[in-house]
Amino acid sequence: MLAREPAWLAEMRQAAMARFQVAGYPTSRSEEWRFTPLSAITQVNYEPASEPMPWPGISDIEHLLYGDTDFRLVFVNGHYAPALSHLPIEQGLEVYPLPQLPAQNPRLLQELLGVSTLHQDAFSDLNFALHEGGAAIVVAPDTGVARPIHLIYVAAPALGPWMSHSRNLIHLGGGSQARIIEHYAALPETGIYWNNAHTQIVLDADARAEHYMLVDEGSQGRNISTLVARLDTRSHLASHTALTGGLLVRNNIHVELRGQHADALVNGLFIGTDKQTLDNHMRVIHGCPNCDSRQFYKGILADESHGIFTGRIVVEPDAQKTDAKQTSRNLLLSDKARIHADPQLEIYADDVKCTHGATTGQIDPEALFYLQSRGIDEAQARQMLIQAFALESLDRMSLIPVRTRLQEQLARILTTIQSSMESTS
Amino acid sequence: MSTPLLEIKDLHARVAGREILRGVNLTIRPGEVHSIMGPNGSGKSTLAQVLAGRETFEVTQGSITFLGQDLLEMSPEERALAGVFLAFQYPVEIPGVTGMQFLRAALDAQRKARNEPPLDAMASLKLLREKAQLVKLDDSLLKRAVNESFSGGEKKRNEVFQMAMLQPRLAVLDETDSGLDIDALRIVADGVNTMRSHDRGFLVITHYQRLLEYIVPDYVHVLVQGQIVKSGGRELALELEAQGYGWAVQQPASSAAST
Repeated sequence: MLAREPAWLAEMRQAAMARFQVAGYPTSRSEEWRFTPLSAITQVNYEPASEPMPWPGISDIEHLLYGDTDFRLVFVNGHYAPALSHLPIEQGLEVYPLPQLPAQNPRLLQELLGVSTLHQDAFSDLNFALHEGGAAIVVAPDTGVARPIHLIYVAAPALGPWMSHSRNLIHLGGGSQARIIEHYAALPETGIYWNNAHTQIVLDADARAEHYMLVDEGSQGRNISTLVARLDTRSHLASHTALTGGLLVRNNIHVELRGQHADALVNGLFIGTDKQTLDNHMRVIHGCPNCDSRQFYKGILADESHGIFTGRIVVEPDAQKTDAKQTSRNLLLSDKARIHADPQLEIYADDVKCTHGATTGQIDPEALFYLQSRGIDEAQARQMLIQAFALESLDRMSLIPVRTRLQEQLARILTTIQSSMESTS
Repeated sequence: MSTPLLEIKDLHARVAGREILRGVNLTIRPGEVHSIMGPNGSGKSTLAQVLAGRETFEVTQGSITFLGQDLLEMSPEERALAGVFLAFQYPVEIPGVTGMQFLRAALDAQRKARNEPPLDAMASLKLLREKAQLVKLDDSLLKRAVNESFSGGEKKRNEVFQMAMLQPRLAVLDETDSGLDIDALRIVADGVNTMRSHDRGFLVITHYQRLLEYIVPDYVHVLVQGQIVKSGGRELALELEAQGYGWAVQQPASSAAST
């Protein structure tokens, strides 16, 4: 794929491609993809994205940044954009644009790619075979990285349909801390394109990571993203996902708790309008005793959008004293909006606490009437209630600039919804 | 002679296919406090909800005029902005919306309707604290979601607090006394009483006459099976207490149900 690639990497790519070719794309008969309409990907001929022409300037992406001096790697249509990126030197932190890693530090690349997890599917195989863009982030033990690291994957108008496969490899050494924002956004007038991303986070003992997956693709954009995380003893992961833009968006979160007293928070919010499909597939594996996991998902579905939530908790036989909680709460704003919520529990240990619940509803007519009875007009009252619904998810995000931007985005989305909402009944 | 605040004429209303109000007539003039008493199922709450504009209650006949305007043609928010306030019997909790946010939005809506600029944060807070004092409501409660984990008494006081903030022309209190002990009742009544004025009318809906010892009405009406069967002065409430609602039905309707 890339110039000067070591032989071992080329072999791994070939093996991944071979696996993909044998298995093929998933179909609706595949359990993990039962509700996901994949024709928007499988029935389109995507070419690898060529370099953007012209390259966007900093003013084109300013609205996506969280500050002039934020720590960021920018990719445009999957191509690394050094001119738009900003990588200050920081003690104990190594950040490499992935295309440069084989030349700069092949041993590190090999180490990172060698991490094994239980996650495997056709898209991650294809991603491995074809990946070009991406980042490697290594935090040295006991290092606290103060500034969030912002990975921005920008889609710019280009001859399409194009595809881009990015792989992000993140390793936090023992006792270290870092926050990473992985962000997919589109400039105006992007056509049909597909981002297939795979991110791996390895947390050594006592490491703490916060990861934000912000998927805001263009109206014709497709995005399949996978976050695979391995947690060692007493490590902590907070994973926040916000799916707002893209015709077909599927986000996989796969967390393995592989050390005692590790804990994971998986916090997801998805907001669908028009004919979007927003598919959240989440799996937490308790592989060790005394671990906690909390999974909270909230979906807001308007117009004819389709939301999917599949949340699996697996408790392996040795994982005694597991404490796992999962909730899926969904708000339907129109007659044609749909949600499939499928909580799944696989429990093989006997001394565990596992709770899960899924609810789907509409705006509470009592609450709506109460607001109206105080002079607040119906449209504003609905907005207040929808914002209130999303607030719980947003409140869990400690990065306030991200939270604020999402709140503003939600407000904008709400003002544009053309929904056939039922009147108060 | 001042325009009546509220004129209800031959009001019929139903909910879930069942007719509840069967021809209610009532006139409230500015400055007057009217009370409606009646047994359970008589239609007291239905009347309150119809006045506030809850669509699940369907008006099948009759008219309601508020300050000369056709109230039935107005949405709930239009009625509120015109000056109708309903203190709910069972105030709902609204997770994720703080009391502060809620009040700001209501106040802003009101000021906008009156073509006044919105209050700045300082002025809002000052007004809020002043009115919260009237019902001894701790303003820290307003940092919480609306009515969330409020006791019954706190919820009712919150209703009266909102009324004090919004300064309506007509306040409808739907069984504001239900579930309250004597102390809470006194606080609520005091709050309401400070708002009595020559300009404002009250419709106090209650099951028991106890509240009316604290909020003394000018007129008492007895609602039974969707109709006002008897009207009188405040003594009527005491007679009802002594004789029961059955007695009211048997009596001839006394001096006009409305003036």
